[in-house]
Amino acid sequence: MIHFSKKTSMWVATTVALALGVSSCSKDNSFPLQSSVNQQEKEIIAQYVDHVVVDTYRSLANAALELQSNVEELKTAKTQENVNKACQSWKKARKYWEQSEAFLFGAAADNNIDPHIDTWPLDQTQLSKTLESLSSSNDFKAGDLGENLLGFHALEFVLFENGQPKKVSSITDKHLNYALGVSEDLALHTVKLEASWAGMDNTSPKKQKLLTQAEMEPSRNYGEEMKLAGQVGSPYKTTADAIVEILNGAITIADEVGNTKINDPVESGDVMEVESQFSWNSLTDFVDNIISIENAYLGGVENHRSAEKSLSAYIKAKNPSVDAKILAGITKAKEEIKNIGEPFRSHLTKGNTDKAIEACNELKNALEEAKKLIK
Amino acid sequence: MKTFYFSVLIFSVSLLSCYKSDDYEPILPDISERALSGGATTLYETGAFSFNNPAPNLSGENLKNHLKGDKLFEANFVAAPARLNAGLGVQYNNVSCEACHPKDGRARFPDKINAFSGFFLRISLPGTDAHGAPLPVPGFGDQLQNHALVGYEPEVQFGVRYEPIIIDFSDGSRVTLQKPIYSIPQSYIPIPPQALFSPRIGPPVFGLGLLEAIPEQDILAREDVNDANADGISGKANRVWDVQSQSTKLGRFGWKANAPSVMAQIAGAYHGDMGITSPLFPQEADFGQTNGSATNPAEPEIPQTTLDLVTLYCQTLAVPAARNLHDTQVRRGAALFEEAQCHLCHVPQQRTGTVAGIPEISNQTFYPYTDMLLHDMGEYLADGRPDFLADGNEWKTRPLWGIGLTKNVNGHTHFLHDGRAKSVEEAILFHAGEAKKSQEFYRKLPKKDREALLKFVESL
Repeated sequence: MIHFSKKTSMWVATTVALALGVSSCSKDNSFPLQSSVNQQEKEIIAQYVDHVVVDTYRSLANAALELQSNVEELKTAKTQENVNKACQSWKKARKYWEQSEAFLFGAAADNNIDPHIDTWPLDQTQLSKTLESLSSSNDFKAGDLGENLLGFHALEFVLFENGQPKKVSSITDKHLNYALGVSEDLALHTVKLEASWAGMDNTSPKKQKLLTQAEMEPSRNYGEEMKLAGQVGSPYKTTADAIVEILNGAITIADEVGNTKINDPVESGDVMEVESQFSWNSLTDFVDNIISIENAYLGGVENHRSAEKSLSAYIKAKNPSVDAKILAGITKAKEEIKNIGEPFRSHLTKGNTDKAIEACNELKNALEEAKKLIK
Repeated sequence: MKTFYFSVLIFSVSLLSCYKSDDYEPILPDISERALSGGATTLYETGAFSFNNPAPNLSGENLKNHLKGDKLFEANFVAAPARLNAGLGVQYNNVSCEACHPKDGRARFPDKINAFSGFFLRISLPGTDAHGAPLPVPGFGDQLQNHALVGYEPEVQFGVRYEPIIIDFSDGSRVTLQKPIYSIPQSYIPIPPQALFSPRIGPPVFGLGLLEAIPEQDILAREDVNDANADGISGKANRVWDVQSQSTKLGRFGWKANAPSVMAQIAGAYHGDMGITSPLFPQEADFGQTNGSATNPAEPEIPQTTLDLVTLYCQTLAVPAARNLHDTQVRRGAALFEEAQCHLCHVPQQRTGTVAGIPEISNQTFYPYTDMLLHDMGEYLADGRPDFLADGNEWKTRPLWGIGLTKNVNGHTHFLHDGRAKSVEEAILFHAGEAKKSQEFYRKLPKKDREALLKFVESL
């Protein structure tokens, strides 16, 4: 590296600048010039954080705690009614989890929570051995088990059979000991999700205590960081970057529902590739994934939406036909998934699923178009 | 004359107002072409999904197979017998490729050293086998697994403590690095006292096809084993055993360049990290151990097609574009990067040759910032464990592309071979050995210039 005197360098710099033109300061080759904060985008982001992500994770954490409590109750009083109740709360928690899958970036990925609570396939060989080794009375701590022995599907295995709540007579004490450990671990991780986006101070004292006792306090406030897009302290250099992230999250799950969750078991013809196959909840899962996109796009979970602070309004102002395509795409994807027919595991043919896969891809493509309007 | 200079000054300031310097004004390099980090495979993404996309120029069969490889990369393995993804363990570190390379990116240093993570230790005895490879330790092989299937005892539990290393800057400021010191507090049988260990963490997996396609002569042309040009930097190619061709080849992948190809690296990871046999490694890694596999599967647990598809996937991932390359501070940082001689090892530009069947990565000019060679990195990073021709101080120059997006993609900034550096600056400060002069240069820079250099690296 050679240094020049101020005078020489000024001359050379002037010549170079003249040759290059005036605008080289902040222009980049292919990333378009953007101011860092756009007020409308900032409001959309705040609405998204508070009324899509935090509302969903709060509902999820509450439902997971309710599930834990219902498993405890079942362990205390082994009745069919309590099995049914635990199954209902599993479905409720499952709904909110699936409705969070348009924002698997952030805490869910960085803290490995997604694979920890929702890995498929379940390792049934090891699960059987784990059950054999368990005492029927002592509490069981699940946290150290591998992710393929934890989470929703481990609980689903214990609670459901052939799409129905299991007969109470076929659930052993060891099963319940295992389920209780897994439900505690699941609840703890969902509480961490809520706290990671809402901030510890904005979670209930009970939840704060749970995280503190487990030494699982979040190290970042993802909600605050996203709201600060375009400012110091945020990983998003511009509010547009954060909007693109929201759209990328939606694109990713639209792609996954169509091309993986539905397509994979159809391609292989192997029912083992079907998620939520003990509860037969698969199609509900997929529809909830699309609702996750819907909530993200419409600016809030149902009853907490703001039309003016929604991505939909923003995209509509830029290109009404793209907005219309996304809205129609959401409706069509939900309908075509429902049209596959219950249970999904019995309808693994191209004829049954082609339209749903196509609808998911259309929705994905429309969201890609919206992304181009931002970038 | 005075008037002329004055008008030039005014004009120049108006044009170049984004750069201000107290002492001198260097000519800032034009680095705009480096935005195309991966040549035609470059993608303009900056968020959480920046590393796990197909190359934008991929199409047809290669795109179709890339997407198949994507699913296999995410597949979670379970214990046999099982209909889907059977064969995990008996001994293992984690259950999927994705688990150690989250979102195709970099694993974080684990909060709890024995939690499931992208971290593990290699192990060997002093000496080499007939092919020059490190000698495996009886009962442990060449990699320690800290997890085992239910009913089996894991080979080991890892332990870690930290030794502080105080680094002073010329301007009086100070940084304390934490050097991890690993231990094995528990093992299923005693470990020989002479055993050598080396930590590893999962790095990003995009751009591997480009690195694999750099012509061998281009890499060897930069070798300077005896430092003939007396610049203090040697550069040595590793020569390693290739299980696929059963011959010695140039090492390109792995932290010590001990794998000759993307496929060999992948098959080795299936085998060592997950206990999955393949046509390249048909025998279980823990075969014959009292806590391991009593038999080997009749057929490999994954077929050659799986290796082919996952290899293609890693070869054809998009490389994220470098950003802000017209920013004056970034350009200043680029100049300092060269002045510090970082670029002698972190060589900005490379070219690929022709790759049969993958025109998308053929004949590309790209910017990985690596020479693909081994360098003595000094005592702060030394593992004391040779690996083929790499000695206990040597590591392969890591590519820097995508480094500035690590926090966005993976939520952390843990760098180097075991994630010991907690920021780009710490990674620079951990450099010694051949990089000592560069590290000293950095320490002597005024804060403003250190920030410029960091901003440049983070633009990659």
